[in-house]
Amino acid sequence: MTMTAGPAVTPESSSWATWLASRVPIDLEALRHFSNEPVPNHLKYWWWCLGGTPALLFGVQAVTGILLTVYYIPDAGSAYESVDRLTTVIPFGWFIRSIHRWASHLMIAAVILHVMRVFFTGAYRAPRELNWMLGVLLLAVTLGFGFTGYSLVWEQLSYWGVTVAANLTDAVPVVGGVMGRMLRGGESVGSNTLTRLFILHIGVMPTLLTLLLAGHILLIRLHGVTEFEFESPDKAPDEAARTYPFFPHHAMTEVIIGVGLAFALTCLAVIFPAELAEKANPLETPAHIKPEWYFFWTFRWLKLTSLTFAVLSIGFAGFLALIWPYIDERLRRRNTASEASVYVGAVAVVVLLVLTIWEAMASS
Amino acid sequence: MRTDRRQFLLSSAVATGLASAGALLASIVGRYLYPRAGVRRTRQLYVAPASEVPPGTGRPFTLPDGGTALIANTDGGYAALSNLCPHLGCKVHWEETERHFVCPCHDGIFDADGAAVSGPPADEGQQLTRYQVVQVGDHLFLELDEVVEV
Amino acid sequence: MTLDEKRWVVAALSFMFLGALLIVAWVEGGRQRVQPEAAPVVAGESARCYDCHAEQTPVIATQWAGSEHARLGVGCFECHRAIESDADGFLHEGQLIATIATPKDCQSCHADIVDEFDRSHHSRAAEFVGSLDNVLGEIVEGRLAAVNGCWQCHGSPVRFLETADGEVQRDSDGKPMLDPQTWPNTGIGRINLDGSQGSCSACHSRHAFTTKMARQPEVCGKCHMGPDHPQIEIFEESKHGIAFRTQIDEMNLDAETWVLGEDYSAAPTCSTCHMSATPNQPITHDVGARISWTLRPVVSTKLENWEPKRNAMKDTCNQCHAPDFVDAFYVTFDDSIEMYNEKFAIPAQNVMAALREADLLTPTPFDEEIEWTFFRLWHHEGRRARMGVSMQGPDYTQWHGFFEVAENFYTHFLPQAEEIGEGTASVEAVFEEIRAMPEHLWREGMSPEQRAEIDAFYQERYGAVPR
Repeated sequence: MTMTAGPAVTPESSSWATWLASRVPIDLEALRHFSNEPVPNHLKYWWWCLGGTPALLFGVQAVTGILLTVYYIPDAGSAYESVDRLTTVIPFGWFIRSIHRWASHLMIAAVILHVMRVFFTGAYRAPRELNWMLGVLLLAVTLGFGFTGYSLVWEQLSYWGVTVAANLTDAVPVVGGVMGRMLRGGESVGSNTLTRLFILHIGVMPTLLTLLLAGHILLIRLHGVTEFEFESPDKAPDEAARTYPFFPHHAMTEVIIGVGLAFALTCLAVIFPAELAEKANPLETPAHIKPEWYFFWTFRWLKLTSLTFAVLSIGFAGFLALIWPYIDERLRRRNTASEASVYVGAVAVVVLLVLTIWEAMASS
Repeated sequence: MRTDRRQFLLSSAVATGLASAGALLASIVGRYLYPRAGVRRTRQLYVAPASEVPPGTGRPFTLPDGGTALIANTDGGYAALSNLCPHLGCKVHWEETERHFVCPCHDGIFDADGAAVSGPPADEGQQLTRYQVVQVGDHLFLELDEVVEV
Repeated sequence: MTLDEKRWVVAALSFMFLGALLIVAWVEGGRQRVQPEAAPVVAGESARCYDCHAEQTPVIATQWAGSEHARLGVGCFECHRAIESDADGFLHEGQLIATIATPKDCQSCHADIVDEFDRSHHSRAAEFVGSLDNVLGEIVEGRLAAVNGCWQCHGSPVRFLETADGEVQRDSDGKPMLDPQTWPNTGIGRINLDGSQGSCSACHSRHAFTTKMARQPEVCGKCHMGPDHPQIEIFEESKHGIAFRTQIDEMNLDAETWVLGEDYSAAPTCSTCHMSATPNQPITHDVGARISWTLRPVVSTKLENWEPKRNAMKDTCNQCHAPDFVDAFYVTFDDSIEMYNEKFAIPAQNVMAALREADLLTPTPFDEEIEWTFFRLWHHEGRRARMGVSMQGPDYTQWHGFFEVAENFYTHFLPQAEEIGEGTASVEAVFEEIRAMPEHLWREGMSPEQRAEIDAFYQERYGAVPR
């Protein structure tokens, strides 16, 4: 038998590369250009690398999350026992679970720091308002991940956290009742609720986060990383001197962060492994109950104000955060030198910090 | 030359570190995912007071899997045989006159010790599954080997 | 940082990560694997019972499935089987079985335990039929008070319903019908149809039959409570009970063996002192094996062979307390019982005997007020005082105990007796004897100095003197 007709293969290039290039016709040059964005010099400082950290941690969560799903049973009657089995019986189950839990804490912390950095450096300003809004939505989804995640364990905190959250939803005027029922999947928190939370946690939210993240990164690339007007005398005029290439220099920074995170997560998992508290008991609210630290501020705020006001005010604050670039623009239109955003941001940080610390110090 | 060597060393260190950490991580994940082997153990199941199985008699005993074991008190002490024919899974029964077990499906015959003497099981050299029966105090227990899922 | 420096950092971090992962593997290797519990075995004839009863009485089936019996393959039939001679045996789905499992059934495997139990007072609890308590329950109060009260602790004599001509009544399936007044019953001294006495499920409730439950004070408290023998209340009041309640999580209650000082050290329960093993003695199901006094009759007496019994109890005490401490307790315990006997019980008994001798009382119990008064004196108040001392409950010893004994004796019992016995020389002589006893001389009156001292105390403390 002889070879039948086919594309000519040049002896210079390796045959598989040509084969692939003809089947997947991507303009490699354009891809290289697109991915290898010039990175401003200030990214040599670690403070500016917080944006990539949540993305890396999201990767960790995706992998460990899939692994946990192998043994987790999303049923109110078996969820807690399956987590218990995962933690105590399955080899390295405790490790995978601890990594997942610690990465969630770090992810939320990193997102918060990233938001603060972007806010205080004014990087959300035109033309990047849209990316700020994507970022706020990403923060919301991340917090949602945290909430649904610890609900799935179906321990006391899970059950009562969901119960309180569903009742809070009820407190939203007009639509609250419908939303609350929607979240519970019935009249009361139970098996239907757990299934819903599970689907949110492993289906809806990952999809949402992936899409938002893709949009977020795409916009960064299209706009280029924000360059700042540092008050330094040796301001370089041309782009080549103000930036450095993504590959390999910045990529290596991200590798350091990645391996560093892997190391830190492993240490945390060994030293403070994820534990399992008492099983959810619908008949008894534990005397001492607190949400995770990132919800402390809402918890304290609820204790200070009336239910409806608390819900509405938190919702309103979220809305303000979402549209902040436009508010900021108005303020600056009046006074170009306005530093209002810094003051507003500082007040917001102080208020949230005070509420959080207040709740943390409170004994119950 | 010196720079080349340094570069080579450095690249090897990075590659070795990442590769070995990755390999260990992969094996951890492998251990996590691979189902654990069941635990093998022997369990004693309560049968009856010994007085209820006097010499020369037997009684059926239902096994946890629903099968039946025939417990007999013979000259050699207590013995238990599965009533499942090893040929194609029919149930054998004891024929007192001939003092042997008969499988009605294909006329398999087993002697009192469970060894096949004629019929298809004898051609295959098969025998009835045997269980240990032990006496603890005044009571008989059947020893069952089992694999427990974890 | 130059690119090379970054590479160095990556190399260093990756080795650190590798090290951390090695530690993870090491931690995993050192973890205690939880061995899976053996699955319940539904073997033999029980398989058929289980199939139906898992549907019809799922809780019974589930409780049993979690029991030690289930892991050993001891199923329904092993305990509920009946033999031809069993009066209550009946054919049920092809097997001869009986409803009530008795100590005789348990004995098949737990022979030593049933022997111990047979020696105990518990096994004879239903033999109270001749007692005054039973007269009260069955006759004075009414039969159903006895059925649902007395018998639920003491145990019923299990009986069949009978037809007019004395035959055992049977239902349409041929199952003999048990008298509902006598079954259900898990009174500890139940008199069973096979002649055995007792009910193991009084403490090891069916169908889990746990040792854990029998180690809990509550299991004893079902019966050992109330005005006539408030042991559970006394225990709860005592340091022992407080320690138990506080440290219940450290009691290791579901351990396989439960040796004081080896398997647990947090606190004692009823079972600890009266039954459970110490490093020096095995567990016993004879609850009286360590008791030296009987605190139940009018006048307390030391039990037969009380010395070895007391030594057995002291051995338990000594696991937690120094011997001097224990000996000192027993000195005041003995003295308190003697005081109760000498000061109140014997004199009151003598009064009652004299009244009866002089024919001043009818032979019928409880038809005269003084009979109730006397009964309360020893059966309620007197027991509370004595049992309070025995188990270190100060309030039960004094306010619920001796205070009420004294109040009854001086303000109810003696005045009632004096009214009945007035003018009868033989009775008057007994009163005179009591009056002359040094313990009762205080009634002759206090000296003005003593009174003044008491008044001064109240004046200083409350600003007023109670009159």
